[in-house]
Amino acid sequence: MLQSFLSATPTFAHYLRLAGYQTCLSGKMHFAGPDQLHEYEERLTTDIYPSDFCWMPNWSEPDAKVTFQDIQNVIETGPCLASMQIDYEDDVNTQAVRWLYDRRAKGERNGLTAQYAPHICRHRRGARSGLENERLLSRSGIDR
Amino acid sequence: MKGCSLVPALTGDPIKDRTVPAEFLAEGVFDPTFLLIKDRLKLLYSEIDPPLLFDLAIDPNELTNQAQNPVYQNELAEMLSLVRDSWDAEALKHQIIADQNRRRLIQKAHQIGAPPVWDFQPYTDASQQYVRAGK
Repeated sequence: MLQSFLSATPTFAHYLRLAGYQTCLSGKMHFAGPDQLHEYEERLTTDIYPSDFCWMPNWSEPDAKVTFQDIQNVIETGPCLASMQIDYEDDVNTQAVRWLYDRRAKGERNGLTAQYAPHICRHRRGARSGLENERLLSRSGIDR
Repeated sequence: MKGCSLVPALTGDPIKDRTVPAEFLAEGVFDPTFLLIKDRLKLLYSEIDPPLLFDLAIDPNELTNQAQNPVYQNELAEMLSLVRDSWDAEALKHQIIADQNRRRLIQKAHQIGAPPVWDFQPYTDASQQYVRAGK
């Protein structure tokens, strides 16, 4: 039976808590609805994508396309100097690493989930030529 | 469809049945789409598209559809019947459309008046950050 993801549905976070772990989420999870935790005790970042039903597809009218649900996602994949997703990843990473060190210092057991938006990423440092930089800047829409 | 225990993999023992079922019902498809991996074969199936069958042993990049290849017809038929036994695609589609309609109605209602505050708002207690009195 198809159903929404109810708060009454046990998640692995419930089992982790029952086993004595602290549960924490850093990053995106695509929870759509009022429960943005589903038994994570803490959430370090907000989600990158909508928490409401605005991305709901419409299979009754397949031509009524919803934004981000086409091949454009794939076409735009690739290296990029700066983007919303990279901003988000930086935040997710910083918060997650800080949280882990903090808990480690206190000697606590924890279960952390770090979720990234991995479709766009930076080149590894030093792997870019000047020409590539130009191209990446123009792709990023950054006004130099 | 029942899954199988992956516990033997933890101790280095072989897993008996490697049949992997999955379904994709989210963005990008317009009909329930199913995946079945059975041993070396991988089947992608939806009611509105022809089946895709890949032989992962000789085609790990999944570039050649073997669904029309006579060599694979017996295995394909077996996998297709396993898919049809495991899922009721038609019923699932009706349920999904009903659910989408409910959510679109809710979303539409949210455009009128005060919208719900569902976005998670991370909380930072500045009194507990960095260097503070008494710490």
